[in-house]
This record gives sequence, C-alpha cells and structure tokens, in this order.
Amino acid sequence: MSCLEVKNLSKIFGQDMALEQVSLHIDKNKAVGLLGANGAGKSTLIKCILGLVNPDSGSINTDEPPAYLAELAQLPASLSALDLLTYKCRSSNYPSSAAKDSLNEFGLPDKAQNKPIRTYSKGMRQRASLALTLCNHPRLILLDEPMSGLDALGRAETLATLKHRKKQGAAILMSSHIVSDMVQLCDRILIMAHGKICENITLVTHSLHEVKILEEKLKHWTESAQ
Amino acid sequence: MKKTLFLALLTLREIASQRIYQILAAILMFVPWLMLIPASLFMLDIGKVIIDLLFLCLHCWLLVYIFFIATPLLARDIEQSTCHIFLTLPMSRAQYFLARFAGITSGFLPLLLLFLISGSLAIAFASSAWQGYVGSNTDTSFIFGTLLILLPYIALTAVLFLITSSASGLPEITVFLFSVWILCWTIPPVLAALQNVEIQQSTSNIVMVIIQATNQLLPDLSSSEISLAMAHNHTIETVQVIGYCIHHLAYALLAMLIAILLFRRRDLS
Repeated sequence: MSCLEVKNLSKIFGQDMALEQVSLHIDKNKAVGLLGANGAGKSTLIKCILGLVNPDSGSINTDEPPAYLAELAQLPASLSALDLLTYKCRSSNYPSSAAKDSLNEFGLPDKAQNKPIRTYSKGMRQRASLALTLCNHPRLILLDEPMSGLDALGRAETLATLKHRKKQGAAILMSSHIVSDMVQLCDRILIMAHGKICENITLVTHSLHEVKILEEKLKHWTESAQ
Repeated sequence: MKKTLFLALLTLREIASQRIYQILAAILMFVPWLMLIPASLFMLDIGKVIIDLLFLCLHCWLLVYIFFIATPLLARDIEQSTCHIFLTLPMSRAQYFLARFAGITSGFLPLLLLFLISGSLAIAFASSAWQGYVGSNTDTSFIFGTLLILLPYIALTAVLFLITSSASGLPEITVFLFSVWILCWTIPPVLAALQNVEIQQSTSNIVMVIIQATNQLLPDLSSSEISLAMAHNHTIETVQVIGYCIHHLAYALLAMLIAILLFRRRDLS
C-alpha cells in the first residue's frame, strides 16, 4: 500500500529546471533514499511533497501529513526542546508525555531538555530536531540530511530508531550524502541529477559492495552534471 | 483554531524568554520615574509635560519591540527555515501567520501593563509632590492615551507581516519596515505643506497624486491629535475615538489579509 505517490512533478525556478517529471512512490514499511550532488533537486522534491514549494505541474498524494526534518532548519533558540516538543504533541492531539519520551529516545540529556536551545551543541540540536520530527509517531517521514552534525554513536542510534519506526509501519524518504547510512536503512535508492531521477536501484544485501556500487554511480552522475 | 492558539502561546513564550524583552520590561519599570526629572524643570502644568514625555517613551519602546523583537523573530522564521517546523505540523500558512501575529501583538500586553502601572505610580507621586501643578485627570488621560497609541503599532506590526510575506530575510525586512516608518512620519508634514497655494503651484499634479496615494497606503503612526488631546485634557468625541480605533484595526486586518494571500503563494525554499 502506497503511503506517498508522486506523479510527473515539475518545478522551474526562473530559468532553472529544478524538477522534471519526477515520479516516485513509497509503500508502508519501506524506506527510499535520495542521492545526488548539491543542486540535483533532492530538497526541492521534499519541499514540494511538504507543500513548502508549489510545483508547476504533477500530483502528490499522501495518506496523512508527512513529518519533516529540514537540513538546516534552526529551532527557536530561546525555547527549550521540551517546550517545542510539548507544543507539537499538544497540537497534534498526542499526549504531552510523548515529548519527554521522544527526547529520551534520542539521547538528549535530562538537564538539557529544559534549557534554551541556544545553549545546545550542534549534535544536541540535531537530536532535538529528530525527536521533534518523530515524537508523534508519524506514518510518513521525510528527512533531509538527518545525520548532519551527529557523532558516530548518534548516527548509529538514529539509524536504529529509524529502522524500528520502519518496522512499525512508517514510510521513510531520506536524503543524505552518507551512502553507507542510506544503504543500512533504505530498500531503494533514487539517484537524482538535473532535477530528474536517473537511477532507481533496489538494495538487496545492504552490504559494503552495494555502498561501493552506489558511490560509483553517484560519482558518474555528479560528473555528468558538471 | 487549537493549533493557532498553541502557536500564539508558544510565540508569546518565545518572546518573553528573550533577553531583550526582559531588559525592556525592566527598563519600563523605572523609565516613567526618570521622566519626572525633566518634567520637574517646568513651572506650569507638570502633568501635561509628564504625559508628553511618557507618550514619547511609549512610542520609543513600541518601536524597539517591533524592530528588535518582532522583526528578528519573523526574519529568522523565513531566513533560517524555522517556519518549516511549524508549517509541517501540518498547519496552513494562514494559521501560521495569524498565530504569529496574535503572539507578537499579545507580547505588547505585559510590557504595556508594566508601563501603565509604573507610569500611573509616577503620576501619583508627582501629584502628591507637586500639588496644584499636576491636573486631577492626568492618570486617566495617561491610561486612555496609552491604549489608543498602541493601535497604530498593531497596524505597523501587520505591515511587518505584509513585508515578511515576500521578503527573504532580516536586512530586507528591516530596510522596508524602516522605510515605511520613515514615510509615515515624513509624508503628513509634506501634505500639510501642500495646502499652501504657492507650493501647490510649483508642484506637479503627478507628484501630488503620488504623495497622497502613498499616504493612503501607510498607517497613521502619529496619533498626534489623540495624544495631544489626552495630554491637555481636551474633550474627545466618542465618535472620533471609535473612528480612530476602527481605522487602525481595519488597516491591520486588511494588511494581514493581503500578507496571508501573498504568503500562501510563496515558495519557501
């Protein structure tokens, strides 16, 4: 069953074709990775799905509103992570207690949870952002560079959480530059260049061999884009 | 509705936890007392001077609030994509703008309350210290005047949203808002000068139309008639006060409607 279906999506910024006839679908319990050089159209695609960018043509169908983790979105610095998560839980009719559970799940120290976000390190901010995205157990999750700023342990924990959410029935669309993380989590990888999906690769073994294949393909498309 | 209310409350909390807001609140507690020093130098009705100085102070802190608290908050939402967090809850862009507007305008209220309390106490002190030099209605005039002067700044806040609906970040928003503010103060004297026949003859019709049209588009920030009447205990017709309130609130409403329409069409990339 498809949680997200995108058909023939196109978007032009001025004279630049940001997306050209992009189609994809993601089923329940599946994760799809978006790979591509900077400016390939990954973030634009995600923003179109979220309604932040209005597409020029094409259609987007989702079962329910997606949860989103933006690559460089800054959390309000004067609020605490707990304030923000409590707000999100209350707004989405979810028990407020889920806010603390989610922060604990992503390893944000108890002491930091009530402190203003401006006092957080980059990694702690990313943990808070992930907790904010996933606190109300969304069924469709869009992640733009979710591992940015995380240390090795943080990345491993986040991947484990995402895998668990996938098993619980969530559909995930993730964009990242870290191919090994994508291979561990995703069932399919889409390589984008010039606003188009150039490759649609189904992962089978999730092994180092597949990482190398993907890196080679990514290198090929990146060079051709230049 | 619930989402709008929650975001408005969160906005208020966000504003209240900022250092600059707390400093402004602390300043407002003693600034009215400082106003007594220059006011005491006047030998006539000190009450009028106190009210004039308090209204000047009011104009200043309302501007500080809009330029240094509300503007950076909205600019950050756009510039650093913080608005994505709220919009992908999901929440419509209209709800988001209305909630932010409600939060920002309600941020005026605690400061206003502090200012009113501190100002009233300062006036009460002045009345007892300089009996006969401070009119009996000074405190009432101060309270009503303060509430009425707030309204143009609510309209200016709506203009801030109008600018933000299309702007890319803090420099752009600040420059445009500052320009609006400057025009609000400079165009009325120019229009007054244009009443002079000699000036009318030496000014082309197109320029006059442009100036008048620009004046129609801007909020009236001066509130001069109302503040003057309040300070000098002049009688103000109820109709005049109602008209003044409706004018500013309608302006704010219209500006917010246009802002929402523009913001809905915008790409937030």
